[in-house]
Amino acid sequence: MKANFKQYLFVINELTAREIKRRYAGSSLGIIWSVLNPLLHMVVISLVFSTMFRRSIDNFPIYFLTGQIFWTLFSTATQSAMTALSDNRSLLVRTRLPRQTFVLSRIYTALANFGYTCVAYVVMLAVFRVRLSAAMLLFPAAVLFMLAISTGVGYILSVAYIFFEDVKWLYSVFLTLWMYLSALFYPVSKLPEAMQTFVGYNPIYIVIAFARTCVMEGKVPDVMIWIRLIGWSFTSLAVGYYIFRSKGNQVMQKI
Amino acid sequence: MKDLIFNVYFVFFVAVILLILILDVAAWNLFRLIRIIKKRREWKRLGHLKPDDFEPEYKFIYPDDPQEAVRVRAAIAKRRRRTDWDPEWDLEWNLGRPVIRVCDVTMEFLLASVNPSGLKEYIIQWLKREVNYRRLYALYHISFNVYKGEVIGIIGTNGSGKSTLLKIVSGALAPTEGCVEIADGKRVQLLTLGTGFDMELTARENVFLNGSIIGYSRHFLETHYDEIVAFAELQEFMDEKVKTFSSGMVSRLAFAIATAQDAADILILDEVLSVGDEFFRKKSLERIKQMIHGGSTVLLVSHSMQTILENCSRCIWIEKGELKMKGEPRVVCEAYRRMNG
Repeated sequence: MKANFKQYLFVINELTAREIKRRYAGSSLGIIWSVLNPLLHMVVISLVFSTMFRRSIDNFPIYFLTGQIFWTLFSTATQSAMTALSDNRSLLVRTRLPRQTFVLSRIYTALANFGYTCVAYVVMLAVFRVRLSAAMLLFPAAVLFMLAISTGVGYILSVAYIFFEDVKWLYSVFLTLWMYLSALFYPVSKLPEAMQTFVGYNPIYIVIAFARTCVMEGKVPDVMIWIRLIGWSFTSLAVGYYIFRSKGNQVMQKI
Repeated sequence: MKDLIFNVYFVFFVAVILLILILDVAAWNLFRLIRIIKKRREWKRLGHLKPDDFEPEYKFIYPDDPQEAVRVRAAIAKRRRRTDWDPEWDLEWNLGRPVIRVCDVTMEFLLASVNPSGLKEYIIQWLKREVNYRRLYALYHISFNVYKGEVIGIIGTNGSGKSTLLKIVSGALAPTEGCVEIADGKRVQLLTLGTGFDMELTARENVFLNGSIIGYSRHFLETHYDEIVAFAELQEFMDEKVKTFSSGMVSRLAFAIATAQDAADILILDEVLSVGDEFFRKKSLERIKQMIHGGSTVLLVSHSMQTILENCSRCIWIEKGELKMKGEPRVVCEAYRRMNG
């Protein structure tokens, strides 16, 4: 059992290494782009945004970037997990690896890329003089919640994608809608009151709010936020895993 | 007040989604149950043996208690006089417990008769009640045993279900009915060439990727890396991308990785021995023979009668998902040739 688990970790590791190596395979700087690319993006974004929206939010670039990196983690994790099963079709029918391995390796790839982005993020935090505080230690917790939510969503999408390829296009539209509801670049207080409540239940927004509270304000987030996050991650994982398990045989027949 | 209304809406929304999911899963399980019940009835009608009916037969053959053994021998002797005596039972008597037992395996694929290419069409067809599923039996009530040290050849025309059978035996696919039992603690390895090769990566990286998927640990791959490369004779090319390789080179590497560990108890070869040049084929055959000598049991799929006749101790012929014949390779191959002109 323990040996098996170790083996699966090794497989996930190798599959992830493949994705990352492939991504910058042709370029001469290679893996350095993983850090350089988000850093350059962030520089551009902060140059653009440090002149706009300045009055309503202090330290707007960091406000935006914090939301942005979490949003990217979620969208890349779920979108790549969606095609995980169908991309690895040939492996899936020929090996005894559990089906989750492929979905998890995509999530892990997104996490690894998020790690590289974080290096750039720390640089930006230093540039914009964000004060260090003990609450920043809670940042990994936000990442964990985000991973749990995206894993659950990824499970569901990967199964749905096997049956209907249209899900890919529907989901990309849905993601755009979701992004605007996640308050990446506006303060929630500007919304009408009803919308505020609605956005308050959006899991992605809650994670981002969690991260903003602990990084920018240096405070431990509110109990309500913790409860909602734990609830969302648990529900997402449970529903996702249940669907993934119960549709397993149908997926194999369809493939 | 508005806040309250929104809370209610939110809860309602989530509840509806959850309800749909639960109903869907429940409905699916219900359909499956109905199908199983129908199947059981069909079995009864046709007088087919259920997988459970096999059980006592096998359980009583190896009693530890000597008195029990005497009783079982008598029972078997009694069965021997029966007209429906299966020669397989003789084999079991002589060769001991089977390593692989394939019991009444049926694999059924559902093919949508009107194939909806997307969600929209699916919903339209579902509303019009046009989605009918056609049952396709890739395998239909297949049973056979494999004993330790045997080399079993599996033949059949294209699309007759050989690969599906191998996938089921290797555990990658679960059969719709019936069961496959592997003797305790035996490691099964399905060897199809190039599973999990990534053309964009170098050969070195592929050794690790492919090795991990097959089931080798990191430590094993690191210590046996040189052996693998030496066997594939690709020393100078290990840092090249695999997309620049010829197909022969790729299959050499794949074979070297797949057979790196000499203790695979059950080795399943899907058209593996017919690749590479003549010299490499000889070398790989040598390797397989070594494995058999070391106690491995081999299942071998090939379209080349030559390979089957030279290497197999027994042969199974599958035609359109049904087991047509099993026995002496010479006899089975002869029949197969006659059938296909």
